[in-house]
Amino acid sequence: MKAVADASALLSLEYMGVLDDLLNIADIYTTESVNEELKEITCFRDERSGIAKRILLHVSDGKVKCIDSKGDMHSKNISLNHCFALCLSAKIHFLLTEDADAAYYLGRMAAQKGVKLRTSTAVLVELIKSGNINTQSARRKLDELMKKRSWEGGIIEVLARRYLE
Amino acid sequence: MSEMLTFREDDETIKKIDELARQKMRSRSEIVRMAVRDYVNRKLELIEIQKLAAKRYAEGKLSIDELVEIIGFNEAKKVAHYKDIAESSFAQGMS
Repeated sequence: MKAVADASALLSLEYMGVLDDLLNIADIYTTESVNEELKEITCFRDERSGIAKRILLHVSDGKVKCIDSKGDMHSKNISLNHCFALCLSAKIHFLLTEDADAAYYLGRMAAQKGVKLRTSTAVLVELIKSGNINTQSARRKLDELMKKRSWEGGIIEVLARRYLE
Repeated sequence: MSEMLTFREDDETIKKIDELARQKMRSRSEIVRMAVRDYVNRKLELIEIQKLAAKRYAEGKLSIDELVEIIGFNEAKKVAHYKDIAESSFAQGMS
């Protein structure tokens, strides 16, 4: 199983404490622009700083594979665009993101090129399938994530009730 | 109190900023400051309304047309698109 992840997805996964588990069952790729974004986030004065530092350790030890990929620099969402370009060049069919705005702008093009956009919930589903976590644990992790999200949290809450109970 | 922010932008956008600054007789920094303030304020105001509407839409208590009426076409399309991605993620995982 392979996927490209942008900064929003990596931060969400590490926040839920499942990035390590994911790296045991899948090959996760990211781009140099995401790496730069994460380095910038390490300078913030909040909990994201520590989370970004832990992700960068995974990048530096090669567990998260970082590949330089250039997409359309004029795109509104340069970082996700680079991730999309990496999906195409490396023939990776899944792009993990929590960035609803960027995903919206990329949506149609991704569908045309056969790249499936997924949120970090897809990772929890795979971890349940592989027996790494149970449904209750996944639900607890999602509950924590929901609190951190903007309007997306409301959608996750409704779907979690539908799929994880 | 203010804090300095630095950021990179591509040449084309910088040219547009400079063109706007020339027409408005403002500095490049002032144009960027206004754009950032406007964006951040609008986003934060919208988020509160969007939170409630998105949840109602996901619950099936609002139609897409009603969602459009409440938060506008573009934001409604974003919510609907995110709901589709999130639902695929729950239902299919990475398969």
